[in-house]
Amino acid sequence: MSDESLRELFRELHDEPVGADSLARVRAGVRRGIASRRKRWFAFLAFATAAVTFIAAFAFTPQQRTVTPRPPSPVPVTVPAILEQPGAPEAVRPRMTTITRRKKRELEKPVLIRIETADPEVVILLVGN
Amino acid sequence: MRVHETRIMRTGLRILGNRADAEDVAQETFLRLHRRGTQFETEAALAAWLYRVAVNLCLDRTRARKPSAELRDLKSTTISVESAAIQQQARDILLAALEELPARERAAVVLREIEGLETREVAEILGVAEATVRSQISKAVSKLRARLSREEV
Repeated sequence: MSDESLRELFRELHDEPVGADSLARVRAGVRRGIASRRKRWFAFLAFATAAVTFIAAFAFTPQQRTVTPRPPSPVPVTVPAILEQPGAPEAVRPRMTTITRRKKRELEKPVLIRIETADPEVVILLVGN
Repeated sequence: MRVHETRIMRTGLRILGNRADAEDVAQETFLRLHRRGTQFETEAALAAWLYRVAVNLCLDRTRARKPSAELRDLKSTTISVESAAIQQQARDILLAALEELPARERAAVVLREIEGLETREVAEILGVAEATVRSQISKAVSKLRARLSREEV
């Protein structure tokens, strides 16, 4: 086999037409591949958008304050009906009274009750704490 | 792009010896081109890139598979048909002999002798030195010639 005949054979292999059906299949495969890649890309994009939207919505929505249950308000103590004064029933609220030094002093003073009798000479004096 | 399609398809067909595999390789090559997305400065650069990808895919496939059924059929039946035209027979023997070459030698011969690329371009595509390509082609051509002589074409 001469070099020339070998080259001739190589040339024949080069010139041999590639089947049109093969090329059509390749093109169709490439188109399919590109379409599937696009589909995957769009799916990823949709997922990413949804994820970002969800995170953004979660991050920027003002959070509601947590409501801590308050202790039940004190039930107003009403004066029993027997002692009730005429008029609207008034709730008795406990009052904190601060005893000032002055008041304390007043309290420390002895109570003096003076009872005058019919006789101006006789006066009854009651002293108590 | 049609020119490139034909070139890549032909290269795949000659290296793999199987039309279905060659179609798969061509398809994957053009999908990779699409994924790459960038423009090539010259037509030659695009061709070289396509060849490189296609040849690498072919070499990967030859590593992974047994000799193709298509060529085994050629060896066993087509060659033995005596009534076939001599040129056709020689062509078939050459294809069978190509299949028997080591994958890298086959790729070098296909690119240099069938596709008509320069030795430098083949070396670039295969990622080896020019001297290596020359040596591979020389060895491969000797084997092919010996095989064709043995078959007395």
